[in-house]
Amino acid sequence: MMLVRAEWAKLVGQRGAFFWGFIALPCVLILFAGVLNGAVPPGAGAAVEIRPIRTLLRAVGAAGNPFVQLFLAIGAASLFALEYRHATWRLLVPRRSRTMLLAAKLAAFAIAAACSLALLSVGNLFAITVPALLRGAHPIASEAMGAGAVAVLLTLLVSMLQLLGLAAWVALMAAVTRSTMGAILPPFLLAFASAAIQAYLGGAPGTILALPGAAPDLLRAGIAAGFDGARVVTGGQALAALAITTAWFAVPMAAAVLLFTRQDLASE
Amino acid sequence: MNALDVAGLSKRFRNGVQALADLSLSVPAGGVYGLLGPNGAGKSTLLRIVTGMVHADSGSVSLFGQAASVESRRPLGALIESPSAYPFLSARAFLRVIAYTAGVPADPGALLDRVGLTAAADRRIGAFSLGMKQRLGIAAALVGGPKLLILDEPTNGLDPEGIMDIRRLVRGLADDDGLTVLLSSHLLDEVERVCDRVAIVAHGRLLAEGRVTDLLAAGDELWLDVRPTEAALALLGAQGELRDGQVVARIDRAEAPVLLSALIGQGVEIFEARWQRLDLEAVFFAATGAERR
Repeated sequence: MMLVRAEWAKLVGQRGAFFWGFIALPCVLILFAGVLNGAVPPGAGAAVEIRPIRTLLRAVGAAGNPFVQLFLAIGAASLFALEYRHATWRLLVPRRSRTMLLAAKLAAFAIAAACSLALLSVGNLFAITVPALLRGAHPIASEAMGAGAVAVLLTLLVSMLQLLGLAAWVALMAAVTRSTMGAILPPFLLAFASAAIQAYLGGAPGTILALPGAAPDLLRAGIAAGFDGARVVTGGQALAALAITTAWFAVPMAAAVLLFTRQDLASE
Repeated sequence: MNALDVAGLSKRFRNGVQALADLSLSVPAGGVYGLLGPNGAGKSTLLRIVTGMVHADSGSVSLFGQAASVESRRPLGALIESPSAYPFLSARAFLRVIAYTAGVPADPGALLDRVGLTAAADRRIGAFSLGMKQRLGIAAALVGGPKLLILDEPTNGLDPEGIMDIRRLVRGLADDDGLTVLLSSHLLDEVERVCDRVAIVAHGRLLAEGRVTDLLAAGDELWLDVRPTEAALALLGAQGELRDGQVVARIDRAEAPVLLSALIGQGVEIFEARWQRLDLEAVFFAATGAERR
């Protein structure tokens, strides 16, 4: 835990990177949602139907957006490329195993990414309720909260797994290129290319694309449909999508650990 | 028990540079051990291998009798080459981060006080001078109370007063706190003043090693201001040479009375006879084969 605390202190200490990586985009998206909801015309005293679970599912599912991933990649690089940038591996490597050091960075990223998604989720809830309240309307939740909580939790887990995959690519590219830009750009381009290929090929029924964005999208769609009482993903497809999403995290992370543990740090 | 044992260490980098070639040395526990060598001698590579930053091609490293590992490196503190730190943190926060990383409790205030940075404890490191960063690097190396402290050029960038402070600190750590200090320096005078033992390294090999006093004593010379010099040189043979108009005799101290008697017996006038101890610079250049500047 102390190692994670150290990484967290370094992450938060980089105020610019922390803001742009984990806070800026949620704030912009919340503002955007607030403006959109504020433009809806119900007058004072009218009842307004709000859908908090769908709002939360959409917010937590934003992890699949390539532009969200670009900002989160900036945050991840501020952890994984930091020691190369400031030649500070020499302070850490003699004190802890290299695997533990990478694991602590991954844990710090996971905490920050979860906080970012939580900020986006809570902000979106405010964005759908506050404008209605300001106009004197009465927001009424129209969804089953118990079942919805499970769906939100499952979607959050899928999104976190997808973001850990993003962090794993950042970790790998940081070790390969030993630079911040080199750590950010390839994972972003991968996410962007994945989204483009996914959009081009479309989602034919019964097919699962082995792309970093497609498999978690399928899982999130299945969870959301399940909340509505529909079934669009079979158990086998869900397992395959989960395996693909896990592989997009596990393979680059294992490669990053393997490379880093064998790497000569002659100038860092 | 030795604090550090290095046996048959070799390292060739991918660019073909042979940084270390079958290097072996032992650093006894206690005292200050100097590591001397010209640029490219392999000093930093050696220290990086000891600290686990660089992997050796062959050979072994032991710390306090245990094979080098993350666990056996726990009693190790190191300042390798130029000091590095996180410029966005304060000195106090930086030392806390290092303590968290090491998993040890730390008292940043006491450490900063020890290296004379108390007044700058809450300033961002990015605004520090090189000398302040150097001091902070030493404070970071002291986090966790190491038994072996590796300092690579610790006085770089310091003003003369700062250099004296760090030298006193290093001696104090060895003498008062019982630490073993491995000090790598290109400042021969510094090593001579601070170190108890010294190893001279060049081209990745160990050229000379021993107590500083022994290395210097081995180079004692008897300088003779005599007339005529030719007679004295003839008597000394290969043990004598003419330097700066004076005869320099490389003999043991016990042989001096016999030599002086012989010179007087041959009618040589002796105006002055004095022992001159070589400095470490001379020993260093003799060992590395470089020309004396």
